[in-house]
Amino acid sequence: MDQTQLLKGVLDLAVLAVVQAEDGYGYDIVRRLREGGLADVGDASVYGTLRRLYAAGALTSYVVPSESGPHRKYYGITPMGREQLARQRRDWRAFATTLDGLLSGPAPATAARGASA
Amino acid sequence: MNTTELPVRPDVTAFVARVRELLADLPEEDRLELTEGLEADLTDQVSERGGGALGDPEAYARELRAAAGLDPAPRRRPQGQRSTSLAEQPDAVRDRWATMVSRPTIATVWTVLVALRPAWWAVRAWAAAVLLAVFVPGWYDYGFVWLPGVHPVAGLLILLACLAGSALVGLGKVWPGGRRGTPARMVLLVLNVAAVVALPVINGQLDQQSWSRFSQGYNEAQAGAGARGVMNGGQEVCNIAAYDAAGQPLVGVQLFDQAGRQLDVRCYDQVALKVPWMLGDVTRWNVYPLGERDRPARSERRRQDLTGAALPTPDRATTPAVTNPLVPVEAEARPSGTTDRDRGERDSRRGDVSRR
Repeated sequence: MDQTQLLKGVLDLAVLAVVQAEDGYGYDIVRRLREGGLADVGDASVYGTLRRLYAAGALTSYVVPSESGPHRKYYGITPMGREQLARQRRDWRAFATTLDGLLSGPAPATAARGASA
Repeated sequence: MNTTELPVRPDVTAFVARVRELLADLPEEDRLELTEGLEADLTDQVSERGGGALGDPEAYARELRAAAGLDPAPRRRPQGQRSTSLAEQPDAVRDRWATMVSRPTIATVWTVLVALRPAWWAVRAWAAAVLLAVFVPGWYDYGFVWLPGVHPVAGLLILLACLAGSALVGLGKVWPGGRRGTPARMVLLVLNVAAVVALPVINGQLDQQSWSRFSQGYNEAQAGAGARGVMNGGQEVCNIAAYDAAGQPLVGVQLFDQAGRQLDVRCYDQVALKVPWMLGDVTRWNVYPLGERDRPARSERRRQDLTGAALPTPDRATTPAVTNPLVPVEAEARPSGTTDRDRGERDSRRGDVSRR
């Protein structure tokens, strides 16, 4: 399955996790996500997600001025963001376990149907 | 790592500017929030992966919006779903146009243009009035006051009526203005396009007319002021009235200049307006006064008809008896006070010419 499709539901979680580890500016966060294995993540998706999390109060942001280049906007996690991260981590683990169970143990159901037929 | 001191590449600047434009419909705060620091991020990205990393700004803006949970770009139909129905087509075009002019760079200009909309109503009213004026009886393509070719009062009335109509349509108070129905919108579109097309045509014809009139006048002036003809006090001499020293009018005076050349008096339309003297069957134009027609005769056949032609008498010439020391006195010893007789003679002369 296409990773971008899967990412849609969990990009918030991934971004929060990365920012919790260390404050970062947009592309820095993209890079860390890619290094972490989400090779296909689009930078615009990440920037948009950062903006949405910021608007929701999960992230804080500050601008680091630069003398010769453009200013960088750094993001850090807020207490509300930590809460959200903890909650979504739990949800994800439960979801992943459920799905794992579904993927690894389909045999009995198939067998039962086969038997009844 | 000193990543804060990267200069911004021009392609990055352009890309970010385009993305900002595509987000122009968002509140300024959202837009700023969404694109702040974008230059820095993209500069990093480009320095790491090359200019190809930028990609399509429209797709980029869409992704940015979607991820930020903002409305997807409004007022724009997806390309695949373009409507071909006549009823929806105007909306589609209008939407695309609205999106285009909502860019910050164009928006200011567009605002001014929208404010000038009544001026367009006036202009198209004028176009309509000119087209109407053609149907007014007695229209001729000459003269330009309110409308070319009609009486100024009629022209003003037509123009006012068209102005009122155009403004009412523009304000949506009169059909087909302001209606949502497809026929009304189509009619309005056709009318506006027709006005746009008609304007340069009308303008071109007026230009041409005024140019041809100008050049005609110029040529006439050139002809008058040029090598030909005789000038008197800045005006061209068209005819000469000769009197003798006693104030008696002379007929058939042949005039020559100091070099013995025939005095060549010529005005515009001289041949058509004057009856020249003849030497056998050769015309002589230096014999005065020249007969004058009341109507120009521009063909040989017309010139045969001498109805209304006469030898002229100048309106305001006073003809006192005069002397010159070189002329013997007895020549001027004629009775004065001959004005009444003069008049009589002239009139009879006119009759002679008419009867010819």
